[in-house]
Amino acid sequence: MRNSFAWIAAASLLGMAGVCSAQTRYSTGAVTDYPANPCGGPSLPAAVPEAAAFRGWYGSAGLINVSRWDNNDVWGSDFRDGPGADLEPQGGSDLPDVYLFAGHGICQDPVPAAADGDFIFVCSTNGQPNNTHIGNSSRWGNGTGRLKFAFIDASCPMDLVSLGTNWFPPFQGLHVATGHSGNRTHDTLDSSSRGSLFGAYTVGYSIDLLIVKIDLFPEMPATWAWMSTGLIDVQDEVCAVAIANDSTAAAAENRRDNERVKAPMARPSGNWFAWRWTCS
Amino acid sequence: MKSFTSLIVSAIVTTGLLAGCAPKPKPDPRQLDESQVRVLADAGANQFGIQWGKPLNGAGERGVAAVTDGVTTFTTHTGSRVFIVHNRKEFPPTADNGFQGTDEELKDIGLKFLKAAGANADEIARARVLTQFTQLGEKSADGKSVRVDAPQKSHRALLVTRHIGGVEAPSSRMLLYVGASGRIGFMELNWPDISRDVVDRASQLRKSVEAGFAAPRLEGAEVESVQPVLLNSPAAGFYNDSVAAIRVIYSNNNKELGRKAVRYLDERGADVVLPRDIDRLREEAVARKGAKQAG
Repeated sequence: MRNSFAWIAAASLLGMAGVCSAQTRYSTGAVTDYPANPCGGPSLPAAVPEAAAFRGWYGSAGLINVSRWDNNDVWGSDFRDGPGADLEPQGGSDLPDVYLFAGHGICQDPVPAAADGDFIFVCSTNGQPNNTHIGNSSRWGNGTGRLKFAFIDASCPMDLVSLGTNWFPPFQGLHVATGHSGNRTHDTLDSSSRGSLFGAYTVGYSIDLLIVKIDLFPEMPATWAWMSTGLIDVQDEVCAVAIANDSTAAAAENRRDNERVKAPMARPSGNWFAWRWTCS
Repeated sequence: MKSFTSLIVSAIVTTGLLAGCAPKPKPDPRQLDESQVRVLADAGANQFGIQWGKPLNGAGERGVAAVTDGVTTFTTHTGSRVFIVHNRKEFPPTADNGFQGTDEELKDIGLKFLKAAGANADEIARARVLTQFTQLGEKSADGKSVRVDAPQKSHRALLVTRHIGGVEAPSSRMLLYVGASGRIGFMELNWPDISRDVVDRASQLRKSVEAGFAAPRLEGAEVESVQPVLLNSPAAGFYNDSVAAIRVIYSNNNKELGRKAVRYLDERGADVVLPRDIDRLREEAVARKGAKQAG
């Protein structure tokens, strides 16, 4: 009898785990159109296809899409803290569990300093300004926000020298973030392959034969997926960076190295940050 | 009690009989048969030193097949030199189970695998070991100050890049993590044979570049570099496309703007169709409510 209960409990837990992973919700925001007037150009032909490929993998993994805005529909305010901003019901970046941004960032020239900002730069007639200073204005996971994974493919939004200034404050419940460190002469290239492969490795692709599940493409923790794909189509001396937050050093390291999109860990709270990077 | 036991027994017998009468479920067409599994497993063992446990199972769809023993999974694009090996016990590595050998030993292991896979050594553009670093930081309780520890060296990966006939092939690569055991933790080997037509086309494009190919202007940017490239589909994907193109990298006029624009063109300056990866979702057009239109 006791065994039966154990089996039922185990089956229920497995079922619940399946439901939980199926309920990871994601959004993408991609900007290809940066006309010279008013956004200075140049446009990025691969940004919108990159987000589409990312959704291809997430959709095939059964994850739920919250929003998928492109170009003028990606607003600067989507990345700034506030009820009508990152919680704006149509496309705020704090609505889903996972958000991929593909577009321009801001790179310092020649090299960033600790006090320099990290930025997300969109081009929209709405939600201006188009430029968001991440350290000053982005706060994820606070209030009713639920963002767990912030994937920023925008060139230099995660400069190693200024992580404490720009990336400690946004973690208000956020679990893991990924981005690049670089500068104007060591920059990322517009690419749809990078985001596509990153999407593939964060959720994997498997065939379920009922008796066994076979991974055609492996599912990795977000950090390791980024370590394996973040240096695709980048110039020399660009670094792929992943950072996580938790209550102790060990917990932050564990989260950084092991948290997966399809099986998020519990909400973090604490003052410790752990990051990992690799450079081209 | 006796009648209860009889009831249970008869229920089991009836269920068994009914199950026997029921049509057998059709096998999943994606499941590989024993001989297919054996062929794949042997390829993994012979080329990449995979030591298989039992039982082995395999499945495939859309030209991609994999075999696994539950710990190691070996994936290949059928008939192509595209492989992914993943040992879930070795990768991701923990702090103390990474590769212990020297950088040169790591390179030797990777180059041996490339050779075993039948790759042409002349196509190796660069083999380098990428070292990862980790770091910890803590902010004060009031959030006003930050303390950051010194960076620590962490795991290493081998990255091998490719050129074909002197033309860079930026989508081909070997990325290799070796575990403490000396066996593969994770390997992505995307090194497909490229058809003669496509290689010849790349040679033509190189001549165009050498003859002063005029890259089209892009608003807000200047041309930074122009070079012929050979592109192929990624290892994680369901296609094996390849194409030759002229890659133009643009440098942003706004010196602070990051992520450089890139175009892949033919000799007339028209965009080429890029290799596919995964089919896009069927998505309806959406318009954000309350959005002012640009322009």
